Amino acid sequence: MAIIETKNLSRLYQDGDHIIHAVDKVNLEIEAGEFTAIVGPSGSGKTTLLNLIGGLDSPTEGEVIVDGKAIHKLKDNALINFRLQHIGFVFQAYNLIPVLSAQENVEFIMLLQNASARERKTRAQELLKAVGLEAQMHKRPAELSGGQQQRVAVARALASKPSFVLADEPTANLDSKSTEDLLDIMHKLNQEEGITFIFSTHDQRVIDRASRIIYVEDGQIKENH
Amino acid sequence: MKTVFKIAWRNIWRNKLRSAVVVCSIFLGIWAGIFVSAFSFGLNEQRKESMIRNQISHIQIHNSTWLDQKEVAYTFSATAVDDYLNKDPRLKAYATRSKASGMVSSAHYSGAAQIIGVNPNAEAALSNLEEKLTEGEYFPEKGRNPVLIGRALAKKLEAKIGSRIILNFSDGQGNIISSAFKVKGLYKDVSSKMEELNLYVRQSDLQTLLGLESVQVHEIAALLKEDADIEILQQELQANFPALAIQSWKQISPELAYADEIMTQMLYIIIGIIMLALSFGIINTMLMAVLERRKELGMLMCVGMSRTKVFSMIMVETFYLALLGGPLGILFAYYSVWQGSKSGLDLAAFSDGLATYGIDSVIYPALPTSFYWGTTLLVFIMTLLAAIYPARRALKLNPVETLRTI
Ligand SMILES: Nc1ncnc2c1ncn2[C@@H]1O[C@H](COP(=O)(O)OP(=O)(O)OP(=O)(O)O)[C@@H](O)[C@H]1O
Ligand SMILES: [Mg+2]
Repeated sequence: MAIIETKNLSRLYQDGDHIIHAVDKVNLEIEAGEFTAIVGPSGSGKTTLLNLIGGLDSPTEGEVIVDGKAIHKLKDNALINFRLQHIGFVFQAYNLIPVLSAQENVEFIMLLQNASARERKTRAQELLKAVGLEAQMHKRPAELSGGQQQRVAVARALASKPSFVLADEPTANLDSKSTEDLLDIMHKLNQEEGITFIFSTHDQRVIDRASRIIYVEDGQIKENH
Repeated sequence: MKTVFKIAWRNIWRNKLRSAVVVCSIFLGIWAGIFVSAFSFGLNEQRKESMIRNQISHIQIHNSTWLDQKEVAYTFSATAVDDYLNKDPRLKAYATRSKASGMVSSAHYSGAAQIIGVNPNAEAALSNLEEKLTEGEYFPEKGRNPVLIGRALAKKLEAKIGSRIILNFSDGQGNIISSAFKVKGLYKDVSSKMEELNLYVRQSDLQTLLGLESVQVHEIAALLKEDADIEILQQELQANFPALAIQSWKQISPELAYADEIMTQMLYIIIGIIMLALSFGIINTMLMAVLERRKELGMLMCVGMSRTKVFSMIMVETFYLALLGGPLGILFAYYSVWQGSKSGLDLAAFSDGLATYGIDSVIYPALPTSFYWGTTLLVFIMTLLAAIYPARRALKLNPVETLRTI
């Protein structure tokens, strides 16, 4: 069964007196274990689509079903809690709390889930090890490179044991070496742990690594393979 | 929730200077506010004490007609009241007085005079008449008709110690009495007007001249050990002596009583205004902090931090700022008021002005303990109110928007 399903999903924006179809009647299914890239020119609707799937934005029309739940019907607080329990997020920037160390940042999300102190600590250290940041666990974000920060963000996204991870242009601010490293880690997690990743990107190298590519233009899916 | 406290605590130190400025301004504002309050309160207490010691005492007893028509004839018999007060342990001191209005004259000047006949020993215990003497002796044993006059009057009369002055007044029967008195002492009072008006003679001398028995007096003034007993004793006396007018200091000097009553309210208003100003500083700082961090706050809401938690985090940050400065300010204020109350603050430079209000030149700041608790409560309320607005602003952030705008 698909973990994500959208039905006739639309998100319109009013811009002065004309209407922008940021996402236009999208029907999409994503299965567990996919490593999916959402690709398209700037302004094509990638971010809007990811936000709708992630329950950060609500559709003008249509349905979003995540883990069998129609999340477009959820109220604010229920939606926040749904995101916490079901979805991992990696943003382009501002992923971390600057006053917390890498480990504390990863633990934070589990704290919101009321996990025990021991569980938090072991899992945070495990995850940071998995993204290759064993030595940086106690550093604060400002003491880490951009690439390292994004890897902490991936660890943080996984900490809550989500069904999938949404990443909107996770490599956009990174140099090519850091981009490679981050992709290696994400790909490895996908291959070895079966973690589902859905990410948007402009970067051809990132696209090349994807197992599935969804090409959007003007809010519509043009290619899907 | 523990983490919310931890993050909040670290957050306030992200901009050390800004937080330090807010903490310091709260600290200084509250310190200064309380100290100024203690100063005003102390000033008022001293004024009250001095008025009570100087002029009005705690309780005054008169013939009820005397209050309206201050004529020699309206005396009352002191015996029964004397017996009653004599054995009352609540009393610190009391004294009887006789009074007459008339004229004082010397070769150089004559003017209106209020002649007060006092019992020297009882009066010395009751009021500070003896301490007010700057020259001469307080009713020496020897010599006929001694009188104590104010320095201002002495100057006008061109009288010195040993000078003779003439007092004219009418007795109860309408006869004008004229008698010579010898200046035995000069006193200093809080105002030159009082120095000019009031003359103190021996009660027995005055009674003889007025043709009154020694038990026939115009006034009994009493001082109590405890303020709390004043009204109780007043009521008891009134019940026992319904024909007499028994007044407490609050009735004798309503403006003094009023000042006493509104003092604390005034001080709370002062503190309140200071806190209002401080709370704008807090709100401003926290709003800046929220707006600066809107992407971070947006991210937290995106990944699943509930609005309640975001709200609490900002509230806690505000409380940290206020609770670092506030209690410190209160403690410092408490200490400096305590120090000040021991040594007093000498305002000799302004004391001429103060003297006209009946105040010493050394001010002893004082505050009731309840005021410190009240201020603590006010700090809490201020913080709560100041915290709500920035925290609400954080709540209103649209997470998706904050992430979109670079
Ligand atoms: N809040 C908004 N108000 C109005 N129009 C919006 C808003 N958000 C997005 N849009 C419009 O919706 C369309 C899709 O935007 P979106 O950000 O999803 O594109 P994108 O594919 O992510 O672009 P990029 O590659 O530049 O990130 C654009 O035309 C954009 O201008
Ligand atoms: Mg985008």
